[in-house]
Formats: sequence, C-alpha cells, structure tokens
Amino acid sequence: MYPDNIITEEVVEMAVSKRIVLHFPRRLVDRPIICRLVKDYNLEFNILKASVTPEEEGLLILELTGKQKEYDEGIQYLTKAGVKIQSLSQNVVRNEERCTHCGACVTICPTGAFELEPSTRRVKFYNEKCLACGLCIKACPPRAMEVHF
Amino acid sequence: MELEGYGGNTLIIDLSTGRIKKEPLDKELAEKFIGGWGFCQKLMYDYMPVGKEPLAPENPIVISPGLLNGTLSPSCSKVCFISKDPVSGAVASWFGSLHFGIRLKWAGYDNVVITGRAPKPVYLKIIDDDVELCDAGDLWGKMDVYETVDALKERHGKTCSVASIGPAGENLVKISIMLIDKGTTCGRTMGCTMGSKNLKAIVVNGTKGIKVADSRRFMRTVDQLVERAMKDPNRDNWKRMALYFIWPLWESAGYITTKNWSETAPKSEMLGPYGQEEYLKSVVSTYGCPGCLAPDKAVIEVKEGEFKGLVAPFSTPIDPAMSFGARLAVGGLDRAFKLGDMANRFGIDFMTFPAIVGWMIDLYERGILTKVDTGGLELKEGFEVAKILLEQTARREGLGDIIAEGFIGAAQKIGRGAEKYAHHVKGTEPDFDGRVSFGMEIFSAQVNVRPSRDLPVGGLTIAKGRKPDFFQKIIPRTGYLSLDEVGRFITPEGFDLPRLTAHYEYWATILDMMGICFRMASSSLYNVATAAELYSAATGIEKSPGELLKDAERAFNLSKFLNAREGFTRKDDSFPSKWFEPLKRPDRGEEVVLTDYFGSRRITREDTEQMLSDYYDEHGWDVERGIPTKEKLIELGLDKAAGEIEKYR
Repeated sequence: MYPDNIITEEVVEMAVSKRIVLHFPRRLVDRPIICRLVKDYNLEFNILKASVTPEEEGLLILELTGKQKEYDEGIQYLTKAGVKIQSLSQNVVRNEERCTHCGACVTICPTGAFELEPSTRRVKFYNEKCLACGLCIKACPPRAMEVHF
Repeated sequence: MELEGYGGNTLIIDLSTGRIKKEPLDKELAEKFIGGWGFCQKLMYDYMPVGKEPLAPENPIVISPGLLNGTLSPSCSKVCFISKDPVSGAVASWFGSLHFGIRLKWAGYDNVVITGRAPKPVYLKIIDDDVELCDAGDLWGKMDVYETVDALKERHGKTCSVASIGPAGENLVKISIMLIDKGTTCGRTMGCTMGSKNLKAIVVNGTKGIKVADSRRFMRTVDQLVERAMKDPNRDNWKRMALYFIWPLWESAGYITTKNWSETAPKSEMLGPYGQEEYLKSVVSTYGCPGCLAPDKAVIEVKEGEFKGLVAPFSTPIDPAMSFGARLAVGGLDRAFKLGDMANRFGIDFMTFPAIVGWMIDLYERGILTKVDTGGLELKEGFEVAKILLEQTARREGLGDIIAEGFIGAAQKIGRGAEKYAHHVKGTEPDFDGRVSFGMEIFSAQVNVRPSRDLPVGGLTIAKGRKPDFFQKIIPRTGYLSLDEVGRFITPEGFDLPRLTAHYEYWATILDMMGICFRMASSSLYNVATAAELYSAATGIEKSPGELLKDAERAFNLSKFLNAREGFTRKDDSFPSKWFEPLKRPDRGEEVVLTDYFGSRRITREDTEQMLSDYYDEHGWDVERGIPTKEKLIELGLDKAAGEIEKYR
C-alpha cells in the first residue's frame, strides 16, 4: 500500500476502463466525434453495440479505456459536443418483482453477469459485467430483464 | 449431416477400458425418437444386453437431454437418465433438471452412453470437446453429495453443472439417488447404479449454444407460451411458497398418509406444525429450473431450536413434511428438514426411505420383525429412530442393510409374509393414492413400464371433483385425442379410465421426449400442436401433431418391449392390495375406498383386472400377457424388436 501523500500522481496516471452508453442527437449523427477520442485523448474504444441511422438519434455502447485524466477530458469533450452519456449499468435493470430466480439468464449470458449464489440459489446480477447484448431479455420467461436506452 | 436444434453428437464412454468415442447424432434416431426419454429407449435397446443382473457392468446408463433443453422455450430443462433399476430389474428412467441438460446440450451432446465399470473411482468431465475420465480418489469415500459438488465446481468452474452421488451410492444402497448441483434430485436408484460403476460424479459445461432451424418461427410459439405462463393465477403462490402452496389441498384430498398407508395424518398437525405458516418462517428463497415460471423448489433455513442455522435446498419442499413429518411422525418441520438434509447429503431417496421404515414399523408391531432383526432397536415413529436408521442405511449396517435393498429385496430378506404389508409398485412406493383420486396419472403409475411415480403428472385427475364435460373440453385442447375421438371415452356419466390413460401416456411421452416439466403449471402451457410446431421450427424437419403422437407411441412401445424382454408382463402391473382396504381418516370420522374418479361406483380387484385388459387392448397389445404384439411393433417401424418379441411370449 502507498502512503496517502504520494498517491495523487498515481491516480492521475491510473488506467480506467468503463462501459458507457452514448446518445447522439440527430444533428450529430454524421459528425466525426468518436475518432477524436483516439486522436486527442489517447483513449481506446471497443464498440459493444451501435445503432446509427442518418437523420435519427444514434446509440453507441462503448468500452472506453485510457488514463483517468484523459478519460475525464474525453468525457467532457463528448458532453460539450452535445452527446448524452450514461453509464451502462444504469440501463440494464432487473425487475425484482418479476424475477423467479430460475437462472435461465445464468446459462445464456455470454459475459457471466448473472451468478447463482450457492447458498440461497438466488440469481445475482452484476451489471458492471453486462454488455447490454439483450440475450437475457428473450431468455427470461417472466420478462424480468429490462433495457432502457 | 449436421442436425439443427440438437447438440449433434452421442458420447459413448466405456468405463472399463477408459475409451471415449464421439459419434455424430444419427438422423434417423432424431426423426423417430425426438430426444430425451425417446433417445434413452432406443439407446438402451442398442446397448443393453438382455437378462443381465441390474448392476452388471455391461448394463449402460444413458443420459439424454430433452429436445427443447437449452432453447428459449419455457420450463423444459428435463434431462432423462435411464438404467436398469437395481430394486426391480425394470429398465427405468429418472429425470434430472436445473442446468445439467442445458449444459450438456450446449457442449454438443444429445446422448451420453456410459457402459462398463471403472477399475477405480472416477468422475466424468464433459466440458465442450474436453471429455475425460478423472481420478475421483480424493472424493470417493470422503465427500458427501454436496461436498462433491463444491469440490468439482471449485476445480472446473462455478458455471459447471455437477451430478454427484454420496456415500449411499458408493455403498450400493439400492434406494440411493444422485443429485444435481445440490438442488434437484434424480431418483430413485440412479445413485446405486452410478456407484456400481465406480462413477462418483459427472461434471458438464457447454458454451456452444443450440442453433434452431427457424428462429423466428420458433420464437413465435415461445412468445405465446410465455404470455400464457404470465397469466397463471398461481404464479405468486409458486414464487412465494414453491410447491408448498399445494400442501393444504393435499391434506384435504387425503394424500398425506401415515401408518404404512392405512390412515391420513392428523389435520391439526399437518396444517399446524407442518403448515404453510411454519414453513414460510423457514423459507430463504424459492427457485426453479432455468426457464421456469413456477419455481417449485426452495432453500430453507431453520431459525430456532436444536438445528438452528441449518440451511438446505429442497427440490420438492413438501417432501420432508410428507415423508418424515407425516409417515414417520418425527415431531416438527425443523426435524423433518434435518433428516431430509442428511438424506440428501448421503444420497438416499428420502421418499422411499420413510416408506420402507413405516412398513417396517408396521411389521414390528405385527411381530414379523423383532429386536433380533433390528439389533435391539425398538422400532417406532419419531426422530431418533429415523436418524439412526438413516445413518445405518447409508453405511449398510444393521437393519439399514435390509432397508438399503429397497422394498422387493427387503421383503425377500425378511420373508415371513412381510411382502403382504409392503405398499409398492414395482419396488417403489406410489406418490399418489388411488383411493384418494383414481385418475389417469394414478392408473398409469400402476401399469407404466417405469416403476411408480416417475411419470408425468398433468395434474388434471390428481385432484378430484372435475366433471366429465371438463375433460371433454380440455383433452382435445391438449390434443392427444380429437373432439370426435374423445366421445368414444367420455360420456356425461364418466370416462373410460384405462382407454383414456393409454392415450394420455402418449402425451406424457411427448413431454418427456421434449424435456418439458410435468408440473401442471409447466406442462399445461403446451399441447401436442405446440410441441410439433417447436420440433419443426427447431430441427427443420416438418412434423405434424399426428406424426409426433406416433413417435411417442413408438418410444412407448419400445420401452414396454425392453421390459417385456426382462420378463415384465401383466402380472407386474396388478394393483397394490392396500388400495382394496379402506383408507381411514380418523380426524374426519371417514373411510375412503377405491372408487372411480367421479366417486360414483366402487372398484374391486376384479374391476381392475378388466381395466388392465382394456388398457392393453387400447394400446393394441397382447391382452393376456400385457406386452406389445408383433403386429404393433411392425406398424411402428420397430421391425427388429418385432422379430424378437415372439421369444418373450
């Protein structure tokens, strides 16, 4: 462990990797925006899901990786440009009333975002692992998984 | 060619030599036997030699996930296990569930055929293409059912599904089961068969998924099924209480019996200390199989008393109360849970165990068993005796060594007319009582090629009180008989039970081939037409409802043939003598006798003999012997079996 007084520099240099949902208003759909994240802010991105149609609102789910400082600046740039940003985990929700803990999602989720807790056999949902692929939505018989974009 | 909707391969494992072979799934098998229970019958026919002792190494275990396992269709996680039942010698099938069948199919396998006997304890690992027999030296003799699951998940990843046996299976206790992921049982004697093969566990995981031929078409039906399921008025009950929500209904019907099936357990106790309120105090969570909307299983935690802190999953949470609570009067739900948990960890079937002990108490009271047989133990109801005998059974010590034989073997060992008081059908105690409601499920349980209990229970005639016109309406909707045909069997006065049952069994067979759960909340979502539609959409092989029913009839006949080959005939189908005695209901001052479903006339032994004849006749079988005829087998395309059946006449 580092003592508190020397940690500041480390934080700035620390690498981060986050999954975010970007909503592009219609006017921005045909503008080059994401490429600037690479050029100006040294961020790497991995597109998890994209739905961009000319003249319509665009949706992009990205995994952004880079240094904390540059990541923050990149996000600031996007916001200024008019892109609405949400973290992915806010958008995939389990309706607890409906879930029967059957575990169909456990079997089908490609990233292992659902886990059966061994002692209670309850299904835990780790939304930070979720890619919003939507497979669980159809696989869930009581339709407990909801994706809000 | 690659078949869509299937895993695509059959694994053949010879435990004696360690040889593992992978063969592509035979298209003809897929078309004629659909999957699950159907595949199991055909592969037993191909791999099982005739007339060997049940635990002979040559006898295989076949495991086949139902056709719909691993697809998005709801409530179809049933995977069929078949072997020669060491208690009765019948070719008998059992069902497992949870994630096992799905993982197996996703690994690419529709069947696993396991033959031989491993020279030393092993477990079978199937993780996609990585199939291996691994040394179980550190598990065998050291770990119970649950510890084995934990150890193997630790080793091979927590998303694996593990089927494991405990000390009872290792010690060849015939009434031992295998459990899957601690959370569901696979009865009744599979633990013993696995033990006899030195096979401690099977670990599966699969990541390949299933490709259905026409996913849009498939999902159209799936969406309709889900929509129906969401409207089930009992959904909240299942979610809150799991199967326990039917407990008061069973009490009122008369299914909760005690004193070796001679009377019903006291209502005040069953609805008091064993009632829903007490139960709900212990429920931690309810759970079901993947894709299930009506979870019937529960994890409980004992909150106070000597077993405080006990946390245990129960596949059928009413079973501890029904078996230990009612049958053995162990004195409270917490004690019933404790014994249920012990039995699960040993891998002992805790429906059969209390049934046998209840019978033995009866024998003891009659003087047929004495302290000489019990090793000085005073045989009586209650927790202490049950616990001692459970431990003895797991180790095959003392009286436990006789209990471990199951009803048939135990009656033989005891002799002295003990068999007369044993209530069983082909070695297994019936779950349901004909005196309470003599319907299709119960009739089928008597005559079924499988030992009692393990048959799909649609639930329609388990509960009394429905009128003939209900069945006239509902049966054509389920689709195993058309509106015209149903008129042959149902009149305003009642129904022709044996003939109706013969057709109902084809529907039950379809459920088992597709892997659809038999609980009413699940099976009633489907009908023959939706099953045929899902088969066609999944595999790309077009099949009409009529053709699917024919496939069911084929598999059913082959199953009957396999048992005829082992010497099972009409004599083995006759009804338990207990049902011709009244069932006393002391707290109601009533006696219940065997009547037809509608309660309009008494049924005698003679009547049931006529019913058997009608049942065989409706199946197109030899009425005198109760086995398939050569002509019937030829009609179903089972020519080879047809050539052999003459030998067994």
